[in-house]
Amino acid sequence: MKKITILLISTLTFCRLYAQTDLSSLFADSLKENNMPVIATFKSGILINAQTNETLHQHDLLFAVGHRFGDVGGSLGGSKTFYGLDMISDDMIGFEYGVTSRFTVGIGRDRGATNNANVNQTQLWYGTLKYRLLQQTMDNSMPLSISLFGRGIISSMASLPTNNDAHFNNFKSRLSAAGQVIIARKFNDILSLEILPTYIRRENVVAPDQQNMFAMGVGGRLKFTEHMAIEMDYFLPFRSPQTKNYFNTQYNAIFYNPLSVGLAIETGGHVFHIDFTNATSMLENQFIPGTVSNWAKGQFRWGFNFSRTFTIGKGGRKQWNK
Amino acid sequence: MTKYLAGALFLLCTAPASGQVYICTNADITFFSEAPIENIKGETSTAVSALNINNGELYFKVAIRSFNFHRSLMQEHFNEDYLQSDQFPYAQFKGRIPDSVDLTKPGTYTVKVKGYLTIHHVTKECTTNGNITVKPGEIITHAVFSVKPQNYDVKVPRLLTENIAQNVQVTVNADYRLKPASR
Repeated sequence: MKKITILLISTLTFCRLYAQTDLSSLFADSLKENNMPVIATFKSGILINAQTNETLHQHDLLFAVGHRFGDVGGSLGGSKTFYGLDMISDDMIGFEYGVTSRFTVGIGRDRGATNNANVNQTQLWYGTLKYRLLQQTMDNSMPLSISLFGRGIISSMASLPTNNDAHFNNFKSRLSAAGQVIIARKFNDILSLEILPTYIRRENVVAPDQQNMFAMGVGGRLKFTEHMAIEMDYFLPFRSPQTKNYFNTQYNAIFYNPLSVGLAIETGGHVFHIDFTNATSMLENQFIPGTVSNWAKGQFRWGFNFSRTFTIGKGGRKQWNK
Repeated sequence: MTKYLAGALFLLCTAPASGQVYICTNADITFFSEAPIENIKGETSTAVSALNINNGELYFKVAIRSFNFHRSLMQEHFNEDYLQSDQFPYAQFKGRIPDSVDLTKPGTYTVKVKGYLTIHHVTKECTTNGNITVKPGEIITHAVFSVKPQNYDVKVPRLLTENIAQNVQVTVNADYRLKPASR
């Protein structure tokens, strides 16, 4: 009994002591914070050619410029074109705006990259919509982020007399569109991956080219410092064997799958991507159905995307004071 | 006998510390970074704190993700690039108000608070002056102190040293109520 009394007293003392010395035990980690959405799956709305699930924050305005040079190697590359830097295969300039933090709209102008086969449209104007449907949560009750992306494209070039996709019979034949479901997951601070089921519609194609085309995209990033990441994306277009044969025999063109790798550097509101890609164009309606450049033959190019985010809504111009 | 003893032990262990702990679950914490290119302010009203008026013990905890900024992109970068809030979701302070002040008596006191501040993954000793107002059933605290991001392994790229202050001013305001004595 004596033993038990001692035990009781010591327990009592210990409990009192414990209650007094650990105030932190009063606050368990709340569920609310565990359930928070995962942010910054990617540093910006694009990887290289692929979109990401990221939308702009509300009232943010993004100014973006993109550029693709000529072939680094192969017959058009080498020292005579300074490894492609003397040539331009595509360039674009665009603006995006965060209507809400889930919904981003954009407009832009793209030069358009022709391939002398099934893609001949230039002077491309586009509008984009991106909606963040679902966002991954920290506790994995929602394991994925899903965004929907759509781009409408119109060519303003003069109609060509030749029988190709730039020979316009009416206004509708100038239109193209792309739709993507972007399914992404941030595995940890370093690795984020995404897949992009893609649909391309081109109103004006040369028979037997596919007016409707599906493709599967994959993309990812490895963030190796807080401000730098290695990025890649790849598209697998589902093209019919007949069209492959047709363009091979008629135009001596072989289609390749667009593969891009690059480095993204983020400093404050700037994101700079420098990349290598075999795709000559930057818009889905061209690089998915119309990439005829082959990495293995040195037909890949330098490219860069640059973007700057401006906050133009509340708190944008005004600097907060103490 | 053993059953009763176990019951008694359980009761004793779970008995609350008798009526001397004050709690605040909506403490305001603001930090302000003044730098040549831009000023940055982060604010939250969801920090939690507890104060034991018998031994002067003081505790604060705040979720890094709960800080709001006037630019959402800053908030994203703050969490993603600087504080890594996925890995280190909370900042906390464990400290003590010296025994020389009797917090059981109403009044306003200026006190020196000493303790350990944990931000990011670094814990450092931290001392600051604060004001405490004791009223019946309520305690109000206020403190302003300075934190060097560098001391807490918060890395600022050289390109952005003009954007982020070397000394960030932190302001804390908390309004405590007596923790109910029984469950």
